[in-house]
Amino acid sequence: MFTLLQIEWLKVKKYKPVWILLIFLIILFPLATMTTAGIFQDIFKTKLGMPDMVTARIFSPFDFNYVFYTSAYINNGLNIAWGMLLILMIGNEFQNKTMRQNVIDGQKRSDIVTSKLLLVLLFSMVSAILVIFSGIVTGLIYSSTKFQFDMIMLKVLGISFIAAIMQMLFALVFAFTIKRPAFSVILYLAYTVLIENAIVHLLFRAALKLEHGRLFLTQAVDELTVSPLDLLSGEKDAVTPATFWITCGVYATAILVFLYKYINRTQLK
Amino acid sequence: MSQEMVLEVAHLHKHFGKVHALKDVSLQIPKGSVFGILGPNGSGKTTMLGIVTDMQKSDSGTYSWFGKGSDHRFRKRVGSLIETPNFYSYLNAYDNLKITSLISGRGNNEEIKSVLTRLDLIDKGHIKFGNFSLGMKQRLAVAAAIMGNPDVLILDEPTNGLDPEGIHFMRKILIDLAQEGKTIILASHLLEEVQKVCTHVSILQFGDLLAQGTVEELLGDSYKIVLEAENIQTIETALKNKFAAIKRVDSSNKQLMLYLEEKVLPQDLNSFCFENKVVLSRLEVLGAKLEDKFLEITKKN
Repeated sequence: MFTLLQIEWLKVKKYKPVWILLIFLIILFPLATMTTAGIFQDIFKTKLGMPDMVTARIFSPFDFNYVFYTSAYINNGLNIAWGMLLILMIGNEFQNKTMRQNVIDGQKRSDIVTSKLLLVLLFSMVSAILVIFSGIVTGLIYSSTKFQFDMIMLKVLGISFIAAIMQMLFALVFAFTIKRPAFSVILYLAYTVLIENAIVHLLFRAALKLEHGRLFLTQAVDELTVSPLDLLSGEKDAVTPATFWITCGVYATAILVFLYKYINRTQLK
Repeated sequence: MSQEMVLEVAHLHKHFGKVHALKDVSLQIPKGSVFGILGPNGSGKTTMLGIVTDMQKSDSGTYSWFGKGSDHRFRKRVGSLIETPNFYSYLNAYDNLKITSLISGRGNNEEIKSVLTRLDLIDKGHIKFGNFSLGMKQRLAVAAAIMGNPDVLILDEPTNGLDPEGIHFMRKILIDLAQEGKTIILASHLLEEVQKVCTHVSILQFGDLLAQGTVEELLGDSYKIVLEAENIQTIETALKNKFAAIKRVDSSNKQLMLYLEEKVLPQDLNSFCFENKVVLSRLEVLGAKLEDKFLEITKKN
């Protein structure tokens, strides 16, 4: 396992897109949360004529430590960027035939998947830390309460970590089965941004009046995090329903089983 | 005592759609041999090498490395260059070899420097692979293959796309490795090269294994004799009738090229010609060429 990590680190440390994306996300995560907080406050003050939430100490989803839930809710969507990065990396390995060379050199086929799972864990950890970081930055500006260490922060860290893993696992399916980086990225984006939403909102909710669409993969991942609207409506201790944890667990297991079986059968041309 | 085999392939079949790329191919590669795999493009050479390196899966059949199995651990003992050099374009030569050494468990930092030196790449170690010329890429791939002294080397068209200087360099490396007594599996179009270095040869065509054995066994006693005389054409049929060992005759102006299945004494030929009033101006025995044998076998099929 340590050797796999060493190999992946050698590949990642000089792969510029990783560092460009990391810088981009370090800026974008807090920026997205702060922009949302700014708009939220503006609506309260100017549109609804309410006093400044921070000075008047009115509860907002940007108060410590609820700001972490809000940050997670806003930023989890950005995990798509990590997914795209993984697809690019894996697609390039297929296209440049380095993956097959690794197998020729003696790598176990299953180790190909395991090594990418290590990257998923690493990127998910970074993503979860960025959620907390952006929560802290936003809270320092927009919170009416002081930061106090409590379980919410750890809970959000865990949820964000899991949500990022799920999003990236899904990306791995596209990367390994389609193999061509550009085409995989387009399909991945099309599915996560357009197709799934269209199925869930237009078909299930609007046409069939069903809520089962929430069990689709990215929808279920979104359901793991507490929405700011739930916080505003008083569900401050909202707990993710077990249904969505189970759904995510089933998806994760299915994806892992599929990937390991697939890599052992596929032709590495 | 039977000879130790490094690779045994038994009844391999492989289809690509409707194309039957390998048809019941079985072969054994003895330890210490330089084993040439010959065949025209699309004959199944790379497919077979792809299967024994787990790059591709066969439809049926088995293979075993070192008489032990097809596990990934045995591939670690094999250095391979198959088709093209495949490395990470954004990494330098040194880092690419580091990855190979971590995967294969062969080689360390010293070994990396040593193979870079041997392949004349030591001053290019910090250049990105993407900026390498084709010749340098090919040399790096050979460096990766020989790093850490593997038990077996697979070299699939190692001179592909190289300029004359590169071909000369690669030929020298190949001869050096063969002289070191390493088991080498060499797939190549350059039959002269193969004849120079190989101890064993197999010939594939359209997925069929047409011939296999030592170079001597394959060439047998076949050789060629050139006869030249003013009126040489007059005895072409008589020669064929007299010497059953003649399997083919190419005639041109004042020359006959005799392809022989078994030895015919030059003096017998000379006497026969003289008896038939043909005075030879040239009688030359030419050594058997793998190229001729290859063409003969592949044309026959």
